[in-house]
Parts: sequence; C-alpha cells; structure tokens
Amino acid sequence: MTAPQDVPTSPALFQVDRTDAPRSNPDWVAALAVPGPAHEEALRDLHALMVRAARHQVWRMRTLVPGVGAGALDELANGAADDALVALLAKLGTFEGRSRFTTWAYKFAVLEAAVQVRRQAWRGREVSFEDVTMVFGVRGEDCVGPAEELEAVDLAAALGRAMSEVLTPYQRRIAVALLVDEVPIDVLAQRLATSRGALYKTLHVVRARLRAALADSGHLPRRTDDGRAEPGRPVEEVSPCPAS
Amino acid sequence: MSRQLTTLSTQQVEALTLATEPYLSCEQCFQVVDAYVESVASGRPDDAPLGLKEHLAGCAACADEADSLLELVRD
Repeated sequence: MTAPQDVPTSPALFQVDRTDAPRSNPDWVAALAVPGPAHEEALRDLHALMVRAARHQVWRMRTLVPGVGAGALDELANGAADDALVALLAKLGTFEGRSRFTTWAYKFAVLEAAVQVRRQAWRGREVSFEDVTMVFGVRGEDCVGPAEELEAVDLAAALGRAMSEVLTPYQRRIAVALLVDEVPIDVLAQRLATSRGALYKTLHVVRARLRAALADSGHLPRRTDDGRAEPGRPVEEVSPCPAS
Repeated sequence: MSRQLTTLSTQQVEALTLATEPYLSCEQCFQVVDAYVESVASGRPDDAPLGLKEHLAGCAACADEADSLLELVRD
C-alpha cells in the first residue's frame, strides 16, 4: 500500500530514540516520586519514552491525516507526549508492577497520541447525530442467489427491524454513528461531551439487545448462561422470500 | 430530524451483533492492557484477563492502541 499524497513518506522525524534506561520498576517509581537529581534525570528519560511511543502511534495513524506534514505530525506527537506525561504522573501511585514500567508508560502516550490524531482527522467534519429510520425491506431481486446470500439479506432486514423496535433513539444514534458511519469513539465522545467508556457501555448494551431480539426471531442462536450458543432455527423457517 | 438507513453491509451486521460478554470497560481495558501485551509478546496470548479479548474485538480504538503497544514492546 502506498501512502497518500501529502503524507510524509520518510519517517526521518519519526525515528524513535532508544532511551530505555536500565532501571528496574522500583527504581523508576522511587526516582519519580522523590525530588532530587535522580528525579530530574528520570523525568527526562520518561519524557523521551513518551515521545518515542507518541511518535510511533502518530506514524501508524498518519494516513488518517493526509494533509498534515511531517513537522506538524511531530509537533502533534510531542504535544501528546507532554499531555501523556502529566496523565502518567497523576497515576504513578496506581502502578502495580504487573508489566515493565516502560510498557506501562508507553500506553499513556499511545492513548493520548491516538486520541489526538483521531480528533485532528475529524476536525471540521460534521458528525451526524440525527435519529435513523430503519427502512430495510427485502426486495424481489434480493430473493435470488445462494442460500447464504438470502440468509445474509434476511439477517440484515431483521437487524433493521430490531434496531427500530428494541433500541432507544439514543442507543440507535450511538450505534449508527460508531458502527455504520464509523465515527471514531473519541471524536463522538468529544462532540457529545461524554467519554469513550460511556459510549462503549452503550454499545455493549445495544449489541446485547440486538442479539436477544435476533435470537427471539430465530435469526441468531440463543446463548446459554455459560455463553455457549444453542442452534438456531433452520434458515428456511426465517427466509423473507415468498415461496415461488 | 431523522434520516433513512436502507442497507447494512455484512461487516456492519457483524459489528452490531458482536457478542462482547463478559463486559469489560475501556477504563478496565487500559488498566490491564500493558500486562496482556507483554504476555502476547512472550508467546502467552491466552493469559488474558476475563473479558479483555472480547473488549478488544468490540472496541476498535482500544484494539488499535493495544496493537501499537505490542509493536513498541516487540521493537
């Protein structure tokens, strides 16, 4: 795959510095927690780690912001690293040592950089949040083809009905924005003044409601309490196509 | 205001009906993803906290960030 025009193709600015200082986890925490020369040195090393991770993430996502040059991307990465460092230091007391400190630190920078790139990519783009009327029907021309195709058409139609019947307007808007319009979850959270976690929770409920409705109508296998799928009805029983 | 939606792709149908139980929040995912990524990098991908794999399958943003973290750890 080739990079789109205007996307910097040379990763020169994004060469990551290898600054994995040979500190143990307790050394990192101690150095960052107590003021002094070791603290300043640890902060510098930690910032370099954050820049490395943020640049890595920005470079991964560069095709989402094709009009942004290498310099601006590096600026974005450095800003994300700064913000991530602040977030990490606020959470330093929660580090439990279940991973290497460097891995724990990287995730803050990766998250911050990813959020900033997604928001940059959608800056100036409108996010539709109007309610959706599901008008899925099964047309005559859909009733030809292999059984798998008919089944897929029928499932989509049943899903459309379920979205109208078992979801609230808010749930429907969230589901369509995230999974049909493919608005990044961080962008939608920002526009709706909510959080990624709250939107994911809504999506989780939406999926459970839709699966339950489709299990009731025989389009999906019902799940037992231990998560196993029970067999659904044969497709012939739920086919929307009139018998010829 | 309302707009009409008349078609869904197979991928959209799958995404809308994905089973994501047991539930794990994005915040919980963030708390455990670093240790999980190190497990994967060490060849132990089954050492996942309950619900993490389901969460990563259902949350594109968390999944992308976990992939990136794995690249960094392996690099």
